[in-house]
Amino acid sequence: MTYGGKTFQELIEAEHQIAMVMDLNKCLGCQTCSVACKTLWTGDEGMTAMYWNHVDTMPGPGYPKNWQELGGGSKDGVFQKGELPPSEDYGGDWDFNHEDVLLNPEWNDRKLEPKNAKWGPNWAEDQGEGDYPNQYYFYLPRLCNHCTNPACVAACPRHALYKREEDGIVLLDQERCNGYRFCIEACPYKKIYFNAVLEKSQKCIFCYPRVEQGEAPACAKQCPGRLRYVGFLDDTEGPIFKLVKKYKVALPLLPDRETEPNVFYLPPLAPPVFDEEGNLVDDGERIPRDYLKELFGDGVDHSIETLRREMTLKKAGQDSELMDILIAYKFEKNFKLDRESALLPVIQP
Amino acid sequence: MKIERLGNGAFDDPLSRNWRGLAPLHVELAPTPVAMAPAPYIQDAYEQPQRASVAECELRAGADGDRVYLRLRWPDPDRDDHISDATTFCDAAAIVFAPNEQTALVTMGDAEHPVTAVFWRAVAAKPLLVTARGLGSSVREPARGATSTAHHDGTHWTVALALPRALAGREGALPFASGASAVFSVAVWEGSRRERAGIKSFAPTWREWTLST
Repeated sequence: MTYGGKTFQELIEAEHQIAMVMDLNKCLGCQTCSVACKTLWTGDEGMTAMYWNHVDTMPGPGYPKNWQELGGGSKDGVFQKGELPPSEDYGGDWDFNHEDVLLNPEWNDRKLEPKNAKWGPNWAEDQGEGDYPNQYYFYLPRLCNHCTNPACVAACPRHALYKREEDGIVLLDQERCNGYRFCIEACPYKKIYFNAVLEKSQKCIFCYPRVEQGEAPACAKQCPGRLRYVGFLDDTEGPIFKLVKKYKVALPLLPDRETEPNVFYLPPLAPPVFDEEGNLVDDGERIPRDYLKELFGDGVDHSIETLRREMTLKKAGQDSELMDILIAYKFEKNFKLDRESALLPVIQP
Repeated sequence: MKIERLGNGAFDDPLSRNWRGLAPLHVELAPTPVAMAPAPYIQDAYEQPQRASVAECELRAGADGDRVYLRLRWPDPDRDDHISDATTFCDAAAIVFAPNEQTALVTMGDAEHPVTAVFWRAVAAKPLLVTARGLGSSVREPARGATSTAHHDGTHWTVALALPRALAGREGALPFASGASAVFSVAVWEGSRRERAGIKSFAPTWREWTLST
């Protein structure tokens, strides 16, 4: 069966795959990435509650609320039914008390605050889980994973979604979209949003106009923690190849959903565990390993072992290419998008 | 269905008594085959309904010198006429035309045999024209000069469409000229059941359309 003259396989084929790696050990949860993206892309009508990039506190219900429980993706090659989140699970459009603060003579006593907020991105910030003194949480920045096997593309009867041949970025053709929202159902990450004003689905575009100029996406470039890396999976000299393929320390989110994400994460190393007496527990892991595997798959063991081994090497004054990459001495080396080495065809203006 | 010549009187009001003078055509509807959905996700994740959400609709049609008037009426206890978030879908209905029975209905035509539909949505002030040459190929455009008026009484939608006889889409004129003959089918979407795109109730066989006046 063909879709608008293309087979499903043709819609998802890409010559090269752009990808992002995030080192969760460096994420501050500052939301600068969220603001950079929001400012650049989602300020128009119908996009108020839409954050193409946001940061969840994990463990936690996240944004939209309980997104991990909403299905989608595939199991054993069969696409799984997903749910559509209602507006309140995104937090809806918050109204602020601007008049109260700006026009009230007692304004010094008032602070700017939302009037109707019951949920939203970053709502469960720093809550996490665990009991004193071993509570834990970590930050998980999330954006569209620009998957190799994107369930959203498989879901659109209008073939409005497709992967760009030159870099594998998943785009949503706004002209073709009729707002059917099968894509939102199918995405296991709930990273496609519905604009009820336009009656269109909308999503992260991996800042492709910036990428075409050799510039990293805004979320990555603005990150104060320097935790993001951007490049091509097949660029053997780039940081992405080394973190994902060579050292295998960067892992996809929810690999069991079979979408083959192209945003990868270095799992977080947690602080040590204390016993009831307040003494350090040898080899204790404050973040349950099973929880990390639930998020990032079985590759967590290898990743954490490798990270610890290489950290030990570096502390001992020995060379570690992996640690040098992760330390990010020079921020610009986090990004390798130059066309000469990235195998990209030059796009004519 | 033979389209009758209308006398004086308004037909753009779905509740007008004038409609009573036109013979109703009762059209049985069936669920669309999910296996034919042009998306692997829908084929995998959606179960084939055994019954249509809307089992039957009633169609009345007439024409005067300027316009063709259609009135669709179908049972729907839920009025879904706004879209507020990702979970809300609107009620809708369409009448699709093709030149003859050789056109594939279930695929909305094919590359050589286009179809054209008049598409009413409960959220829109005016109807649209939709042309298609196969699944996933539909293109919407304004139905110039066409109007729609809808009424929901708590149990049924009644929708009146007033369509200029010269109405034409990108695939050519609709069969509204004097002496025109064609085939047509009907589709209904139940918003409260989240029906959209190919998930709908439809008349699975073409019916004849003759406009002799």
